[in-house]
Amino acid sequence: LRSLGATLRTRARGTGSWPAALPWLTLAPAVAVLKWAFSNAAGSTSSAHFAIFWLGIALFAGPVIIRILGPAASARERYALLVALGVFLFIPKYLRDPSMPLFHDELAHWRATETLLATGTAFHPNYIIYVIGEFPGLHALAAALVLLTGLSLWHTATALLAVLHVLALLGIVDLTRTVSGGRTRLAAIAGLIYALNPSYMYFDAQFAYESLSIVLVIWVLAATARFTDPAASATTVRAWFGAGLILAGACIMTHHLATYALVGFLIGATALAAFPRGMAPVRRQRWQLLLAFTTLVLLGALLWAVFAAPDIFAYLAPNLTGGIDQLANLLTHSAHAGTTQAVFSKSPLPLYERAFGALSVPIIAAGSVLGLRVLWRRRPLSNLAVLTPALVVLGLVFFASLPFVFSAAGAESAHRSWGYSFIGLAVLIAPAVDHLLDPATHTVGRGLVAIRTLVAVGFACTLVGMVADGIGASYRFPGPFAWGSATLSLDHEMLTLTRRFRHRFGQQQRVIADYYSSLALAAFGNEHTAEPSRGFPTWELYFDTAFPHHLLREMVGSGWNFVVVDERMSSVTPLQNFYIAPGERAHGAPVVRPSKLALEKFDRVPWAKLVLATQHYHVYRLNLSLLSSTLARSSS
Amino acid sequence: VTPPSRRQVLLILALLAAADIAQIVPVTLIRAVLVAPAALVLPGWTAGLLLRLNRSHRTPVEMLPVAIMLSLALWPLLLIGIGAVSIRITHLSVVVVLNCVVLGLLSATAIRRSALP
Repeated sequence: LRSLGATLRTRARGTGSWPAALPWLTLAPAVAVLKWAFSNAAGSTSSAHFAIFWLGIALFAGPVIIRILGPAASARERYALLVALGVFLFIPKYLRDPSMPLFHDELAHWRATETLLATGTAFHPNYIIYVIGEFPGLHALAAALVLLTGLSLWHTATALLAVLHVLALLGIVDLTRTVSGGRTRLAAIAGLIYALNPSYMYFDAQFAYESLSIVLVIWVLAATARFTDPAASATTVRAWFGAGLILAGACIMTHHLATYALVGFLIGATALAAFPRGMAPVRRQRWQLLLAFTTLVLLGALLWAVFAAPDIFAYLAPNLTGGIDQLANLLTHSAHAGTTQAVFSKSPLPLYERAFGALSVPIIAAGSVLGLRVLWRRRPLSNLAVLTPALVVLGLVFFASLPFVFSAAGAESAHRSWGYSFIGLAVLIAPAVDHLLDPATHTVGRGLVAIRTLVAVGFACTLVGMVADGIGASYRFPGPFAWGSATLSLDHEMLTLTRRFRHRFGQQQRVIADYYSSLALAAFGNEHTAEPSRGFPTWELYFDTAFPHHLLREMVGSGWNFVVVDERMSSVTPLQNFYIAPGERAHGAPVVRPSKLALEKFDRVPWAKLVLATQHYHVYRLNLSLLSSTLARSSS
Repeated sequence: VTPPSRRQVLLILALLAAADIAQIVPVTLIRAVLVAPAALVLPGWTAGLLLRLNRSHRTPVEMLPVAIMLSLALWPLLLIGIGAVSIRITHLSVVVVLNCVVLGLLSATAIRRSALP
C-alpha cells in the first residue's frame, strides 16, 4: 500500500505510470457495485441503477484502459488485462438474469439446443426463428459440451459465452499484431477499441449464433492476416491457411449473415490486394493464396445455402429490401409515418447516456480520420499488410450504416453490422491512438499526460454512448413487469402457464397466442406456436369481435387446436407496440387495443372450451370437428 | 520444424485420460472441471500440432486461445459430420469422437514428423 501510495503521488505530479496492481485491486469492488446496480434496477422505478452501473464499470475498466494506454505495462500484462476486461464486460449480461435464457434470440437457440440434446439430431424446425434450425453450429458445440461435462445447458452456455467474450478481444489482438508488424501496445489498444462496440457487452454475450460466429469471423481474419503476411515462412502460411479453413467451415454452419459478411470482406480484400502494380513475387504469391481461400469459403457458403439452408434467402430478403426502400424514401423526403424512426424516441435512458450516444459518433469519426492520416504516411500501399486496405474499408462501413438507423426496417441490420465494422475500426483507430501516445510525438511531458487523459476520456464517452446506442434498456436491466416486452413480460405467471400446459397436454401442441406468450410456450414448453403473417393473420382472432371464417378454416385445415388469450390485452398497450406480430397493423397506424368483447368471444361458442386458466391467461381447446361442421353449416 | 515435445504429448494423453475417467464421476462440478480442459483445448491443440501452428505461436500463452478457438470450430464440424452419416449425437458418440479426434490427430502428427527429413 505504501508503494501504491508513492506511485499515485508520483502519478499526480504528472510523471511515472499508474500502478500495475490498481486494476486488479478494483476488480472485486467493481463486480460488487455492478451487482448492486442490478439489484437496484430490479426493485426500484428510479433510474439510479444507470449511474451505479457506470460507476461499477468505471471502477475496473478505467484503470484497465489507463494501464493499457500507458507506457509501462508489458505485453503479457496488457494481454492479461484484456482477458480480465473480456470476462468483466460479460458480467452485465450474466447479471441480467443468471438463472435462465431471457433475450428473444436466446430463447430460440436454447430450444434448438434442447431439441438437439433430446433427439440426437440437428436441423429440427424452430418455431421462434424458423431459420436457425438450418444453422446448427452453436447448438452442436453446446450439446457436445453439455454431454461431456454433465452441466446443465444454461450453465454450459454461460461458461461458453464468457470464453467467447474473451476470445473476441484476443482475436483482435492477434489480427492487429500481424497487420501492424508485431506492435503489442497497438494490438492491445485495438482490443480495447473493439470492446467499445455496441454489440459487445450485451448482444454478443447472449446465447445466440451471432455470439459464436462473430468470434469465428475475427479469428478467420486473424488467420488470413497470418497466411497473407509476406514475412511469414512457408510452414506458417500453410498452417494458418488450414486453420482459417477450419474456422471458416464452422462459421458457415453457424450463422448466415456472418458468413456472407466474411465472404464479402474476403472478395473485397482480394480485389483491393490486387491493386498495387508491380507486385513483389512474395506478395503476388500471398494474393493467390487469398484468392484460393476466398474461392473455397465462397464455395462452402453456397453449398451450405443450397443443400442445408434453402430458406435463408427468403428469410433475409425482407429485412434487406425493406431497409433499402425505407432509406430511399427517407432520402427522397417521401417517408410515410412508421417507416422512419427517431433515435432514442421514448427512451428511458438518462440524458447523459443519450448525449454520449450522440457524441460517440464524432469521437469515432475523429479517430478514423487520424487513423487514415497515420496510414497515409506509410504509403505506397505495398508497405501496408495485404489485409489492411480491406480492414479500413470494413471500418468505414460503420459510417455508411448510420443512415439506416433512421429507417424502421433497416435499424436492426445497422445495429447488427457494428460488431463487424468495429473489427475494421479497431485496426484503423489503434495506430492513431498509439501515435498520439508515442512520447516521440510530444516534446513536453505534460502534453503527453493531457493527450493520454483526453484519449482515456474519449474511450469512456464512447463506451457509455455505444452501449446506449446498442440495446434497449429493457434488455439491459431487470425491472418491474411490463406487458409487451420480450424480456420484462416473462414473469412467474407465464412460466407457470407454460409448465402446466406442457404437463397437461404434452409437447408439440399447435398453439395460437400473443407474441410474448408464444415465446415462452415455444422455448420452455416446446409447443408448436403459430407464426402470424399476412397469409395467416392470427391477430384477427383477437381484434375482431366476430370470428374470421377464412382464418378458422385455415386453423381447421392445419390442426391449430389451442388458443391462449391474455385478458390484459384489452387494458394495456404493449411496450414493443404490437400484440401478436409486428405486421398486425399498417405502417404508421396507431396501436389499438383489442376490445374486451373481442377477447371474450371464445366463451360464447360451443366449439371452444376453457381448459386452463391462471390469473390473466385463458387457454381454450378447440373442437376442430365441431368447428368444421359449424363452418360448413354457415357457408351453406 | 518444431515437433511436439514428449512433455506435450504426455500432457495431452493425461488430459484425455482424465476426461475419460471423469465421465463416471457422479459429482457434476468435479466432472466438469476435469472434462472442460479436454473438451475446450485438446481437439484444437492437436489440430494445431498437426498444422504446425506452434511455429508462429510458440508460448503456451499465445497457443492457448488458438487451441480453444480451433476446438470450438472443430466441434460443430465433427458433430454435424457424424450426423451426416446417421450417427446420433449422444454422450457415447461425443466421448468416442473426442478420443478418436485427439488420438487420430496426435498419431498423424507423429507420422508426419517421422516422414520429415
